Amino acid sequence: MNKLEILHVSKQYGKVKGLDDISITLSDGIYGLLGPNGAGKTSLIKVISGLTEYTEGSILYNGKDICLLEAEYRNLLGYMPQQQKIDSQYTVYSFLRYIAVLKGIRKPDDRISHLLDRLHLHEYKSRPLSSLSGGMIQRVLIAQSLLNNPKILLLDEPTAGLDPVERRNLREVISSISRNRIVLLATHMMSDVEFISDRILLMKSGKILTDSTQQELLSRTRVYISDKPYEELLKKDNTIRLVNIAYFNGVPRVRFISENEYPDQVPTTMDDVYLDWMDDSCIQN
Amino acid sequence: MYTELKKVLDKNIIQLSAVLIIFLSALQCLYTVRSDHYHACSNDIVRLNEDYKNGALTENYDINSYLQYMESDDFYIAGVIEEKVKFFRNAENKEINIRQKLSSSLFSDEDDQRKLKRDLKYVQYNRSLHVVFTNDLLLTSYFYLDPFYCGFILMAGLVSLRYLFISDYESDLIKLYKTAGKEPAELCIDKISALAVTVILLCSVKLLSQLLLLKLTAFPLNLPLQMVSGFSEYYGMQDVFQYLLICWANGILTVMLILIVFLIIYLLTKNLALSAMICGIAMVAEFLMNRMISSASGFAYLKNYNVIHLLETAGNTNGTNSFISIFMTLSCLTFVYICFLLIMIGIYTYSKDSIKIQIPVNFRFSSLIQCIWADIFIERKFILILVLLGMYIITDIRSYHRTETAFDRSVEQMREKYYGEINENKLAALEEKKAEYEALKDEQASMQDRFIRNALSEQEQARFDEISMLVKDSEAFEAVYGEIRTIVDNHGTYYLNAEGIRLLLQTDSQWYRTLIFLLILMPSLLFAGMAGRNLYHSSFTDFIFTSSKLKSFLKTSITYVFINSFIMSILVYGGRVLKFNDYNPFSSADGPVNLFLNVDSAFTLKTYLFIYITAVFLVVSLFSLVTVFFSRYYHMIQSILMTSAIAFFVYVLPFGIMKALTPDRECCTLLFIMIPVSCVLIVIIYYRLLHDKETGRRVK
Repeated sequence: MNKLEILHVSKQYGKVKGLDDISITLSDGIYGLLGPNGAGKTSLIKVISGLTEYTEGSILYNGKDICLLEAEYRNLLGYMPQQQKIDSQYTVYSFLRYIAVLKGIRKPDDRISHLLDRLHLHEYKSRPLSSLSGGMIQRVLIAQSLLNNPKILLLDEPTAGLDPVERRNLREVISSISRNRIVLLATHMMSDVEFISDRILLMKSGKILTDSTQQELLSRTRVYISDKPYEELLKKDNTIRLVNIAYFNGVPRVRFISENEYPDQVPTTMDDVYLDWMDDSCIQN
Repeated sequence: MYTELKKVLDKNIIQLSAVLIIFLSALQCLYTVRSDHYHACSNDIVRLNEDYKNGALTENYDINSYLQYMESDDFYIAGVIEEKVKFFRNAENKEINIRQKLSSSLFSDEDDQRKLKRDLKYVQYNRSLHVVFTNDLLLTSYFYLDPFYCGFILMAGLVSLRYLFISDYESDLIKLYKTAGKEPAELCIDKISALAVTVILLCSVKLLSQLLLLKLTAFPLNLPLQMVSGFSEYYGMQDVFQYLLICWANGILTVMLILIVFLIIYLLTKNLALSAMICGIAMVAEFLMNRMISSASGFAYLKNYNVIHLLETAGNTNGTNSFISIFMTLSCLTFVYICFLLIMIGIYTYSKDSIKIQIPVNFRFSSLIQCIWADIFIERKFILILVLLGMYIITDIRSYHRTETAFDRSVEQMREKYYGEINENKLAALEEKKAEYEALKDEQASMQDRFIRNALSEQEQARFDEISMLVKDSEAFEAVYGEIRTIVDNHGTYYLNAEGIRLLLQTDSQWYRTLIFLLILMPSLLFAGMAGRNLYHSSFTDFIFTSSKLKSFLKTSITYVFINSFIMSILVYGGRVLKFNDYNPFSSADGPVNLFLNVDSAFTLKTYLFIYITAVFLVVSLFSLVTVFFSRYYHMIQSILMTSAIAFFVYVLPFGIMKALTPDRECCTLLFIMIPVSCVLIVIIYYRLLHDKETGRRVK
């Protein structure tokens, strides 16, 4: 059982707080890290991966400070950075060999072959990275992060720029490799996490707003629909958060979140949850 | 084309370039006209003109009155005046000679007569030209600064390239252009035309400002050029105006050629820093070759087609690229330019959205050394720099300046007989040989009169011929004898090939030493920049810094930077040592260094070479590490530029100090300042690089 404790971690970028007193404990399983752009997801991933130094707090792996573990900790780590394009002439195979050398893996061919099969990359083995599509690159990046069979897998927006089919395939891969390791998956797309995450961390302005299961989140947010104009609804209830307005034959259908009870409640989706937690404009409206 | 042109001409930096060119011309003219040289020369030229009109420029003309320039170390003016006088004398003598030949029965052949008559007409034409001595300091000062103007226009051209071509690729606008329905070839020609117009405009600004200022100072622009600066070897008919036009055309073509070559390299590599560095290194290497290639070597032709040389055609009137070859150069340049232009348009037009060559690199990496090697040499294409440097070194070795005249050769042969330790025996042998030569000379002198009167008997004639043969070497012997005596008088004990060693290390000229240093420094900094970029700003950075082998990777990268600096130093100086040995074998490198460096030091040549090359290696390594250090915080080009700026000041400073120091300057400064300071700084930076930049903790 792996345990990663993040205790009161803050990261200051000049006068801006990138991370603000974050405390969470991660154990084996998939954690979806959700938040809008600039929420601090990448900062948190970089702090955990050791790429960025935190200003305050501490991070413990199985009770030991990661700053003291250094190379030993990096050996347990698999990191997939947030990037779409690797401008390199290295072929997929060469690239994986390169990373294997960096990770100190001896005789990596079996492992590379296994990962190429697992991620359906075998036929692209001899293609240069710069000629691959976005989805292929993401798969290659996942493969490199799994080379050392890591105990902590950090994935920064792995599905960015992928089409729905690619995203589904990638989710399947992530889900299948999550056993006996901590997987932290940063994204701003709800669909990435709603099917595979054990827990969801919602982040905003450098803070973790909540650490809950999907069910807990869904049960907390109640969504209704109404045929009345939105302005009219807002006059009566100022807790309303707008999700969507659609017009059918000139009649509006308003989908909204409210703390009060309304007759037409509809099932809550993760997108509703996201808007409930993240969209400040909903409150102002 | 108008749109493209507007894109460039709108830029403040281009407008500023034009203003600066005018300003530089004005400043140059003002400085020359106000200089003491100008006034001194003007007065003397008036005197020379009068003397010429009075027919006083005969064999007995008193040139000594102009030797005041020699005394005031102003060899330039003295040389110019001497050349002018020589020119008029030569012209007169030539006419007399041709007339004598015409009337001689030896040249009665019809062909000879025709040839002689043609020559006579030619010489007479030259003499009939507007004969006047001018103060050509003004004109020559323009020639002198010609490379600066070209450099300036080149910079403006590079800026134009940036806006016309490179920014399109960097921002991926090229795809947009090519899908907008415009033919790529048409687009390319538009851009090239805009570039050409910019360059032509800037060159014209230079030409017009120079013509205007020459006009204002009443310089006779219609003066045949051979009357200026004593180009006595040249018999063309160009006047100053035409010559300036040629320089103008040459400047435009050369700058365009360099820009097109730069663009081709950029289109192929898509790497701005690498392209700039390849062009820069090629130009420095070319310049060095141009100065050092012997016209007797198999590579002499390079002297005519050397880009740097072309830039300063006007200023360079000596050697093979004299006036006559300017037209050859110009036509060759036009041909080369058209070829490169077609290649460039071909690459631009027929490539798809990306011109970058895709060569899949399939390595089976098994160690960090291989990874870093492939990263820098293959991925970043540093191998191109190595190939370029290798080509320079091979050419450099093969084209070493041999001694060319018969006298130089005989002196060289004589020297080889006496290289080595100077002991009593050698001195005695020298004195004996000297006495022998003197006796032979006396004997020859006693027979000289009878030889002229053809009054020698057959036996005496044979003896006279024998003595003549033996005495032939006496001048070379006297030269060597003088050198050895000077060494003995200065308490030296060793005789070695001082001239060869001076050439080897370019000790006579800080300028060439700086260029050689630059030739080592530039690729080393580029390598370090690439290593730094690979570590801190590449798509691999995150993988490297989250890997367990981070420390090893850092150490290996830094070691590579060291090794590269070493290789560069050894390649360049090793090449020079090799060629030195090929052509100037010195009997031993164990001789003292004071003979060729004028230093009062007991170091042997071997020690000095070791110290010197070590110092170069350490200083280059230091700057390379500084580049890697800067790469942590800045991008590659910024890091290289910042380091270059520091290197410039650090390099200038010690040499400035050295000039003020007494004889031991070289060895002492290198041994006691440069080497220890470099070592200490290298150790500090090395350890800083192994520490995390944010926490300051050592990477484990």
